[in-house]
Amino acid sequence: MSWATHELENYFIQKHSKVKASFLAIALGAFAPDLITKGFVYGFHIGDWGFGAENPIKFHRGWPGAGFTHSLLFGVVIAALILRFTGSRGWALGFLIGDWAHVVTDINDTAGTMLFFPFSTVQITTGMWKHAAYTGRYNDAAAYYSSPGGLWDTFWLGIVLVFARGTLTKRYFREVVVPADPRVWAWIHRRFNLPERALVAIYRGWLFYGGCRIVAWTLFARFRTDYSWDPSWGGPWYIERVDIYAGTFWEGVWSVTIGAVLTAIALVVCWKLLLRRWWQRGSDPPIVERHGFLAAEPART
Amino acid sequence: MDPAAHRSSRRRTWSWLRRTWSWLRRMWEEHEEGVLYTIAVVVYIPAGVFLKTVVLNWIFGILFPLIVVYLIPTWIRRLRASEPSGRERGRRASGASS
Repeated sequence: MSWATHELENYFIQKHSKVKASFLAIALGAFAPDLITKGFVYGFHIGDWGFGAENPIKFHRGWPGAGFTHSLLFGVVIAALILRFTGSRGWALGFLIGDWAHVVTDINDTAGTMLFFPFSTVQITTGMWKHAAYTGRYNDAAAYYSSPGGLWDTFWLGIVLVFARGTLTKRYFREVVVPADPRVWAWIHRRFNLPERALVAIYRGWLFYGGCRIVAWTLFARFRTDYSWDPSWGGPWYIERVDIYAGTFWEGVWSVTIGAVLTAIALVVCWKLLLRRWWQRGSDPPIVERHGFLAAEPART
Repeated sequence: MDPAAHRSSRRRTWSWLRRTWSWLRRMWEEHEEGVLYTIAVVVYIPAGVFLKTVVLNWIFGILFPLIVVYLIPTWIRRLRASEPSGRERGRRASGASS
């Protein structure tokens, strides 16, 4: 799994989506796949009762398990429910983009993600770093920040600070972030009596958290554990690699290809039968103009 | 140590401290928010290294800038506004004694 990338990529997405998607929805979408499952992956105790998955990696990314949360259709289903029940296109789209960004980013660890679930249960992975969640939270953090994962997070921090730094200004917040989602920001403003300075601090919170946790966990890994730094592909070497998929490479390629085609067909069918209607019924803030197939009114010929 | 050299070294130290203090005050007056974000980073990272679970979680982490940049300064300002200043306290005390 990626650690800080899921917070940092939000600003990059925000830069490109501008007013078309809600930042808070992007952030929620980027958290969504791990929101409920992460606790069970690491395990936790309430009094004498212990909760946790027997096979953390399979539970996290496999099937049977909660691996479906890391699939493209999971994001579509939740985004569709958001669209149906709130009517907010910006929230539905923001959630979908954030969720998909998380799912696609997570293919970089050795566990991979079932992108095309339920049509394919094969995990797609680049194997850039080892998924070490089965070692517990602190060891996972130390392993991640001793592997290319730490570099991957730092790369995203650099991307945000170099290419998306404009999204961090008060002016951008005022002119883009709030107009894209005026109801929710206004609600936070009224409900908690927070001025703009406080709202900007919340907005910048994801960058703050992402950047600081890179430094804190790296310091922890370097100085408070005996984990050595191994930035080689597939590192760190001292963590055992656990693969969920047990088939051959070509069986996997075949399954993923079929899964990709069926997922694309399912998306088109869902859009034509249901989602387009919900989308047309939904609403946007006045500032938002949509073009192409997401235009507010279907083009009449 | 030569007393003259000691005095001169002390003077230099005080002068450096005064300059640093005035620079800090100027920074605070001109870039209060920036200074508060810097404080947030400087406090959060070591706290995160030592209090991992409590500090390095997505709720506390995301809300930490709000706490340092807005909530604590606002709370301190309110506290200062509600308390009489030192001069005012002195005036009241002298008024009471006379």
